[in-house]
Amino acid sequence: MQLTVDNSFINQIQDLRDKIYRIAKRLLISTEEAEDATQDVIVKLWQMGESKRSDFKSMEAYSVTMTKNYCLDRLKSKQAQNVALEDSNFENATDFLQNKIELRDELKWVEQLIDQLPEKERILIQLREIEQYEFEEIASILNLPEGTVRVYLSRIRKKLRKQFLEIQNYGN
Amino acid sequence: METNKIETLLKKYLEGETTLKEETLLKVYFSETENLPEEWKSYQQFFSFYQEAKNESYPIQKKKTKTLLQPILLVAASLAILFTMQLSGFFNSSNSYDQIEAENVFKEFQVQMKSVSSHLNNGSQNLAYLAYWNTTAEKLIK
Repeated sequence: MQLTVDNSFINQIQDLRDKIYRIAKRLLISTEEAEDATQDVIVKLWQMGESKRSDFKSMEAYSVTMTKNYCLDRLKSKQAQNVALEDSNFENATDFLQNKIELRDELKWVEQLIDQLPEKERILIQLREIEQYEFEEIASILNLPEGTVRVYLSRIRKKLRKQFLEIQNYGN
Repeated sequence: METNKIETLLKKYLEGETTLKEETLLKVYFSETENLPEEWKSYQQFFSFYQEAKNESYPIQKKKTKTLLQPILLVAASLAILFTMQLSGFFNSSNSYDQIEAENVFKEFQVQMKSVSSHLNNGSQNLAYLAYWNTTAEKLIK
C-alpha cells in the first residue's frame, strides 16, 4: 500500500521536475542553482503529505508557486549580499549591443534578452510562452489580477521584440 | 489570406490577447513556413526559442562509473612496480658483502670516537676549577 503511494508520487514528480527545473533556471539563471532549487522544492513537496498531493492539477500549481517563491527568496538574499550597482528597472539594452559580438546563435540572443529582464518579467515569459499556462493560472500563481497579467505580458512582448530588432539592426 | 490571419494574430499576440490555442497556431506556422516576410523573422526567433526551451529537462546525473583500469593496464602497472622494486634492490637479500663492510667501518668509527671522548674527559677534569671562579668573583665584589 505504502509502496504504491510512493510510486505515484515518483511518477508525478518525473513530469513536474522538469517544469520546476526550467522555471528555477529561468529565475536563477545558473544551472547548478536551479538543480539545487529543484531538489529542495521536491523535498518540500514530499514533506507536504499525501492528502495535498492527491490532486495532481492543484499540486502542479502549488509546486510552481512554491518554486517561484523559493527562487525569488534566493534572489532576494543574494541581492542583500551584493550591493546593487544599478536600479533593477534599468534597461541595459546598450550592454547588449556591446555584448552582441559574443552572441553567435540567434536563439541564444533571444535567451539572453529574456534572461536580462527583471525576474518578475522573466517568470511571466516562462509561465506563458514556455510552460503555456492559461492567464487564469498565471494570475493565481503570481497573485495578480488576470488583466494585469495580460498588460504586463503585452508590455514584455513588445519590449523583447524591440530589443531584438535593435540588436539585428545594429549588426547590419 | 493566410498571412492576413497571421498578421491579426500577431497584433493580438503583442497586445496579450491571444489564447493559448492561437499562440500554438502561431508557433506552428512560424516553425513550418519558409520565406517569411522580413518583419516577421524576429517572431520566428522568439517562437522557436520558446518551443526549444519547453523541451529542456532536469539534467539526470550521470553516475560516475569509475572506469576500472583495463586488465592490460593493470598487468602493465604491476609489472612496472615489480621492475622498479627489483632495480632498487628490494629483493636483494644477498647484499651481505656490503653489510659486513659497513659494520666493520662502523666498529672502527666507534673505537676512534671512544678514544677521542676519553681524551676529552681528561681535559674536563681540569675544567672543574672553573667552578671556583664564580665563588671567588662574588667574594671579591662583596
